Amino acid sequence: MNQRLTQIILLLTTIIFGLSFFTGCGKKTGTGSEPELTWATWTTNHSDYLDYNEQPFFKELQKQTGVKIKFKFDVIGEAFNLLIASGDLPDIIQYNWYSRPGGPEKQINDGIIIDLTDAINKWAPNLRAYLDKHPDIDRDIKTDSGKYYCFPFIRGDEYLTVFEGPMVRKDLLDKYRLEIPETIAEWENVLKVFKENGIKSPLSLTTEFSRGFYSAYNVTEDYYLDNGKIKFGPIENGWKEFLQLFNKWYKEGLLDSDYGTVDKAILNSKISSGNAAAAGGLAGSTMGVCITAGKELNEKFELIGAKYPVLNKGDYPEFGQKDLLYNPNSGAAITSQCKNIELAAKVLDFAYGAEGHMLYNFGIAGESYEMIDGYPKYTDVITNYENGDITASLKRYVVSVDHAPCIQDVRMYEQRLIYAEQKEAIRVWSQTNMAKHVLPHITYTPEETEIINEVDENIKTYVSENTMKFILGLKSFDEWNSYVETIRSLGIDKIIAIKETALERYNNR
Amino acid sequence: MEKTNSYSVKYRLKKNKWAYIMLIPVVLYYFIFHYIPMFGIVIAFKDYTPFKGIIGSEWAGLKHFISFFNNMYFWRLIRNTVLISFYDLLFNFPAPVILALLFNEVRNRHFKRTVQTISYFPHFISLVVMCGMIRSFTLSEGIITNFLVSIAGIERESLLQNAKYFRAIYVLSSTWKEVGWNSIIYMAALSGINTELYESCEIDGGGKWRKAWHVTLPGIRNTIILLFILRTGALLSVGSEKIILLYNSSTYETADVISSFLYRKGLQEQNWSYGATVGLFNALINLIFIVLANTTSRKFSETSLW
Repeated sequence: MNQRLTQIILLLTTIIFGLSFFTGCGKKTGTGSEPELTWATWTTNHSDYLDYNEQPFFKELQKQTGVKIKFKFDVIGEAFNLLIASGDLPDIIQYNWYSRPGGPEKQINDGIIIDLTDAINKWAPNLRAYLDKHPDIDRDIKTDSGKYYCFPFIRGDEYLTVFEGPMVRKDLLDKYRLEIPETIAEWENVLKVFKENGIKSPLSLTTEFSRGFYSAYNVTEDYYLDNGKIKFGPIENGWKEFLQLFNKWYKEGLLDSDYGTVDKAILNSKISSGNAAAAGGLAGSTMGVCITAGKELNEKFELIGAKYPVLNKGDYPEFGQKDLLYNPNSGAAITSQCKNIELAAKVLDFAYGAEGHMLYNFGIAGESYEMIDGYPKYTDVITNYENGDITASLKRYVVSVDHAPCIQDVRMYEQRLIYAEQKEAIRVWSQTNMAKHVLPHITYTPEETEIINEVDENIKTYVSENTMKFILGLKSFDEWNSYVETIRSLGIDKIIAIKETALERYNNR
Repeated sequence: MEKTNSYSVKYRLKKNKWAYIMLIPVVLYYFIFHYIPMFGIVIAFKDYTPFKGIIGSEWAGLKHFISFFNNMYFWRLIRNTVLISFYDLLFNFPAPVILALLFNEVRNRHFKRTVQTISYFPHFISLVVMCGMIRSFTLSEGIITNFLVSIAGIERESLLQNAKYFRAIYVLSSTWKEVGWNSIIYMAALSGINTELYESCEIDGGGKWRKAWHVTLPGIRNTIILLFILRTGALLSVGSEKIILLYNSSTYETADVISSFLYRKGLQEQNWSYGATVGLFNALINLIFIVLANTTSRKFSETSLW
């Protein structure tokens, strides 16, 4: 009998467990007395805390706004689609609405999120004031027809928009009495000297960090603006010259012979161990990590950022790396099922006010930071984190480290960059005219999206494959014309035309 | 007549009541997680967007199929998928059988257990970690490269940068990872062979080879055939994870398979209908393979899945 009972219980649990899948998204339960919101985000809560309500930032946010917020994390990709498909939407969804086919405009028309124009004007005085002061950003965060759709993530300073570039071992330059290279010819000379002195792969980089060198030929690996016209880098002549340069460097052993297979981890180990003496990469996760590791192995180790290379001595670099101030990755939109739009708008607007700004960027006063001479300095709660990983430490208190609907403060970033070399590198890498060449956040209609989807992947595959073939010498430059022809036959002109129409719509906003 | 029948069904139901009740969760599982989702296949014929849902999305006919067949990389994807699967089958199917036979010949129990356990280890290494190891071992200064340069005299280069080597690296690393683990099922089958058969073979004057050929292999033949048929059914489903972790743009030529293409196109670009189309196509081909293998096997060896 007892055994039977166990079987029945097992069976019932199975059925109940199975059924709970259908009813998984339960009803919102409000206690009535306390205001409550639901908020889905693609970001992750900190792994140190089992419950986000224990994580200082989220605890404090609910305390300061006086609103109980139920967060749902990691709502990205399939989880996001399931959420939308379930029809049971939370009040707020933080997502990259640009990545959705048809862009934000279509999401409003489909009735997923609401037009926030009224809400922002009425209930978001902080954001409204910021946008009035920054008309450029105001235009960026609107849809083509002039609607607001989200509370945006904004980089609060131009300094925050540059984070990638070429770098070189300063101590080795000094040892061989070399200047910091500025032109491609000087770079070639430096790399040759390194090679002669026994450095295995003088220049090592991943394919995505090769920007420093094709920038010299005034192209990018993607679409860019050239005098108001949209161009696709890999079919321009500059790209061919870049490929010829890298092909030559590869043959001479100046470029890492593992060029095609190097990933970020391998790159970092090559630089810090001294097998490579120059590289391309990020100020944080390349330079910072390498300096820490490199100094442990060799106390003379010194890695600095070099200017974006040019062809002729004395030229000002035209191309480089530059992000836009408005990053659409984390737009917090209010959904069509939100019952209390005013409350949701006010909670979101909190981030753009004085108190909210401090909370999102520095955490809790007296706990994670202290004001010293008007500068919010992180306390040792942040700086003495056990793993020595400042980013992980910051994330407990500060969500602007990742992306969050707020204005990212440059003083957060300054303290996150722990080495002076990193700060200097960003200053040096900022010296380009790249701002003129970055495509703004244009949006496409669903029909346009479909055409782009149809051909874009093939073009990308074809370009990256052939880029590698040209550099590794598996394809002769005699075939350059047929390479360009193939890309044209794949429909690059169609895509460029669509992008130009979209750009026109953007300019008319 | 009819009455006895219904009586017997009733009787059987009553007699095995609990067994049938215990079966319910299994049936429910298959129904809920394997049969209901099949309905989702229709999105291959629609322009699916999550908000409109499966039913609400508009019909697209065979648009996605035509687009996939006309893709410039279609034949390359098919070729790579078939070749990688084929090599995988050719090397990694017999390998665990051979290993199990070898284990079977080891007389020292202690030694056998130790070696067996060691051979399981790689199975427990996560795929991501394993691929990281492969990537760094095959760099131009990596230990595998060093070994091959000195033994086989190949040219020193990053091996994963050369499209020629991709398939070999893919297949051999699978052998290393799974051969021990996959041999377990054959070991189990081997332990089921009646020892009297060995004794009688010995009496007939059979040596080690004869015993292996006339007793051991026939003893596990059915297991081998069944696993082979199942394996054929998965012939065109090369998983995307390992490919994506190992390939790079210089090896697309030999490495890009249907599933990795699907990953780039369907998931990264969120083109669900297109993804479903490619998946459906893949499943159809697999179905054809498994039916063929099963029929062939039934004809020649009287062993089959159905």
